[in-house]
Amino acid sequence: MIEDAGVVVIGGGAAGLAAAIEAKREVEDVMILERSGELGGILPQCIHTGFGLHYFSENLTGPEYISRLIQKARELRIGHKLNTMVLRISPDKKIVAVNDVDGLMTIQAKAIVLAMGCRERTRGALRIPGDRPTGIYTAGTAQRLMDLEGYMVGKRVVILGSGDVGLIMARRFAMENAKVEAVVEIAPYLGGLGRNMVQCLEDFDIPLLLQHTVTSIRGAGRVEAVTVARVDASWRPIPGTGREIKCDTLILSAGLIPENELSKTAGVVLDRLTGGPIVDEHMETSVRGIFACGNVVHVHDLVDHVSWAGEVAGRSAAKYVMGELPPPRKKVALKAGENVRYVVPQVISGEEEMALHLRAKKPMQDVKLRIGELTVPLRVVRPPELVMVKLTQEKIERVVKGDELTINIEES
Amino acid sequence: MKVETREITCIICPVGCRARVSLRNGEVLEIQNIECPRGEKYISQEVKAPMRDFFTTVRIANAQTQVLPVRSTEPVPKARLKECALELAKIRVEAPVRLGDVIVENILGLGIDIVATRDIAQQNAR
Repeated sequence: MIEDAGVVVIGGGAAGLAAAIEAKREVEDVMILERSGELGGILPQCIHTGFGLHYFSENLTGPEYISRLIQKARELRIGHKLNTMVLRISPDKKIVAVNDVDGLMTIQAKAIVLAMGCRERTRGALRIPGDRPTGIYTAGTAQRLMDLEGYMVGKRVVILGSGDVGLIMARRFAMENAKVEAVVEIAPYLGGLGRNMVQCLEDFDIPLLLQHTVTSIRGAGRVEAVTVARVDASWRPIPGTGREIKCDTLILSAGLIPENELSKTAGVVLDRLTGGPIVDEHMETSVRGIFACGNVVHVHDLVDHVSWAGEVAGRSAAKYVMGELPPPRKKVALKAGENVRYVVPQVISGEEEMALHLRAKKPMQDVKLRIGELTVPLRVVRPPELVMVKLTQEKIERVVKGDELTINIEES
Repeated sequence: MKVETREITCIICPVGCRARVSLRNGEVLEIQNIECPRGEKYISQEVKAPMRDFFTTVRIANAQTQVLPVRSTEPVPKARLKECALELAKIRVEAPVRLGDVIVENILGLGIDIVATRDIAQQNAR
């Protein structure tokens, strides 16, 4: 049996909830499909503060932040199916999903919002040689075990990767009386936000080893030690620099990957640089009527930006359903130029106001962001910190010439 | 008296401004490289007595989950974070709990409460 639906949002986290809430303001028929047993995505397990400073103008914990969106969704009576796994999406927006109540179902949506988030790189993806004992966890899994399920995962810990989740977990372990031997980072700079260097590492005297990596894991049954070595300028381990650090747990916090298996089944074109769908300023993908937002598009450092992107996608999906989102009259490709790793959106009409998101390739000081003839001075850019610039319609129209626009970060 | 200069990274917001503070006898003379009033307040507090948000989990019974996330209503002295954690390790609560419910009143006599940061329903209750 095929069920008909208006806007279907896939994923009920910070992006999907914001999208559903915005869509529901315009159209009645909005539904969220969520794989997990509760709404909220990753935030219920992020028990620390620092969320919502921009979106809610308050310093909230993850559970507090997401509770507000869940509450709003409840007030608006947004339909949702939990424990529901979407298996595939066709380009004509048929969704095949399964759960233990409805069984296998096909839903014909008028518009779809992809909000599946991202997943962590595992040991296999990092290709760390050595034994295969227990005691190796990705940071998010360790966080889930500790802060949702109530298990202590280790007592003597090495963390590989200095992204925010790794730093947050370093502090959690320290607060729970575990010994964090080191945070090991292959790059010559911190992978996470500057404030987490202070409140997660310095506050607990946890050493940060920059330009180091884990080259081997030893342990029979449980992790017993890892070998840590220096790396050269091209991030290759330098022979002879390895030393063993005794530990019972290795935490991997070495990058997140947008989760786009479903996007591919719908024929959505992905960007090689972000790992997510190519989107325009309405967060519409290359397939008409399919929108995307949050970490499925590119990995964000702040949930506030995720929810904002969700709002844009939700509003656009509603407009599409109401026939108010005509195809753009022209397409301008935004290109990542000098010192820019990626730019989102990747395609724009060049006729509307928009928020430009980009990530720098390396840490730099006193630089100029160049968008065509427009320049924006920036005091500091760092790869872990997303750069966001709002451009008015007037500014956009001034800088767009032709069908391509390159964004550069230039030394002053 | 000698003037001491310290570099302090502000942790109030994700920007993480690196402030330069000059001090004489522990008194702030000047704060540079920081623009917002909240940041200035943080830096002045940080050189006197560092304060941090406190959060952890406590054991919960009669619920689908094993633990309830909690936080302090105000930042607590950094030096007493672990004491707070030990205090909460002793606590057991029972579902249902509502976001904002006070779990420990006036922890360690600091005048700060510990509150629940989410709703947790009683097991099997819908």
